[in-house]
Amino acid sequence: MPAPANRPFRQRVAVTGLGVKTPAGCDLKTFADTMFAGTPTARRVTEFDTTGINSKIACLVSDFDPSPYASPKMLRRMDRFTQLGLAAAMDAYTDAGSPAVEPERAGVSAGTATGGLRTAIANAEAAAERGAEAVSGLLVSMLMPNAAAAYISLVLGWHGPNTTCATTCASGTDAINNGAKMIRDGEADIVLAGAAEAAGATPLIMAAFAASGALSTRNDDPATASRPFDSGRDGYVMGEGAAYLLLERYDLAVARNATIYGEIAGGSRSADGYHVSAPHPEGRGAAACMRAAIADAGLAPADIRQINCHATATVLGDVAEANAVLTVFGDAPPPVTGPKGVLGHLIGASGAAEAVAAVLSARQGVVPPTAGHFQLAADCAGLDVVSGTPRKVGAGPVLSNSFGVGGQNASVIILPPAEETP
Amino acid sequence: MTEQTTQDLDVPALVRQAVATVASVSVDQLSDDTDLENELDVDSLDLAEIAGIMHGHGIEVDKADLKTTATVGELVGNISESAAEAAK
Repeated sequence: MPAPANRPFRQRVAVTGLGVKTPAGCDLKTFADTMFAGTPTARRVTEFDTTGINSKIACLVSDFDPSPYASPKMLRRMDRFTQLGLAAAMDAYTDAGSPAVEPERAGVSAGTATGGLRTAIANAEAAAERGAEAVSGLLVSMLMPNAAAAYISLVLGWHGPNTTCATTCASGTDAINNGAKMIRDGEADIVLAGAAEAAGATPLIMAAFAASGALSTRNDDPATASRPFDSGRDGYVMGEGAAYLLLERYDLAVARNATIYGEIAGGSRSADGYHVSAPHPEGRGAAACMRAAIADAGLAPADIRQINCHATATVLGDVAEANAVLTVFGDAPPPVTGPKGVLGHLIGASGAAEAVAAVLSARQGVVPPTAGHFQLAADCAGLDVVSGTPRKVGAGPVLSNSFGVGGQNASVIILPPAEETP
Repeated sequence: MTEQTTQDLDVPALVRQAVATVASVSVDQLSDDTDLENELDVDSLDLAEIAGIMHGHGIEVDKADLKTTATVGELVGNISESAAEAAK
């Protein structure tokens, strides 16, 4: 199988398994149906008291059952983010047909923004109430951001590279790019790449984001609260969840007759270096990141069939991304979608869940509609935002973006499966 | 609130409950002969947690002592002894 002309020496990376534990579904079919129907998942929070928090809505994973994925004892030692991450990763592995691996050549590339902060909060509360002796000896192994990657490797017995990146809301896309690089660079033959997040939807972190003005306060109408690129956008809806992709060396996936969903053709990352939380107003870092990702895939902007935008529905974030897209693609950018209209903001896991949607979009040649998008905002003029119903554009390359608080940007290029039979 | 002394507590029952909690099994599944490591997969983190649970009941346990116990019965004996010592 020929490698891209400008990158003759690197391995190609196939996507052969997908696993999701998200507000839009805990199985691939439900997730795909929800995403392509554009059904919003935000609802009023009843799990905890939102008194004093101006945003009282969230996108939660209500139907998650961790029990099939590990023993009760092991699950007891995991924060919710690790349970979600392990379960999504195991689903991706199973979806790929549970391939036999050489353990030293099998890796994990994980991402999260807040790791096991839920458990840390619970322990801090216990310590404040009952003293330091109330702190659990399990806390460190539950709090650490690399816990999900640790459990994936120990459950599967995989001994290859095992890393976790923390670039807040860019973590999921960075994790996929990092995982693809493990294969491209010859470090691994098979990698579970994805991300998990569970502490965003807690009173502490909701209060923090609400205090910074980042969250939607459309509490009386949760279904239309998350409005990517819309004139009425007022912030994002907090979410939680996890998603994993099983990545394999393309030739090995073909050799074992795996079902190939698509290909990770390239990716990039950059930093705004501008402000710790606000994006560069012109989206300069984001534009550089998109350009570099497209070039890394051996493509030109005109080759991109659709863009899976970060689009958190904040005033500043959406206009910065719109500016960046127009900078890279000129006056006639490809159609874009904002998956957070359905999913809310899964923070560190958002890029991973949205990449799963992008893999399906690239293969099906359909742009999922942007839930919550009714009228294009004047400051996003020039974008072609798909809303209402899915749009057929033909199978082809998808650009998926994630931008983190901190100015970290990540983009990945996903191709449909190659048509040629090697 | 009146001070509860360790003499008022059913220490063996508390220890069995703590073991059941950390091992994620039912108390009914435990007997004195149940092997902590081989049957319940209890490790040093679990022993530390059992000590923490006992602390919550006002019973101080030396974690180093627990590491030498092999069965639920031995653990119950060991912790009951600590509680009795403290109550003297």
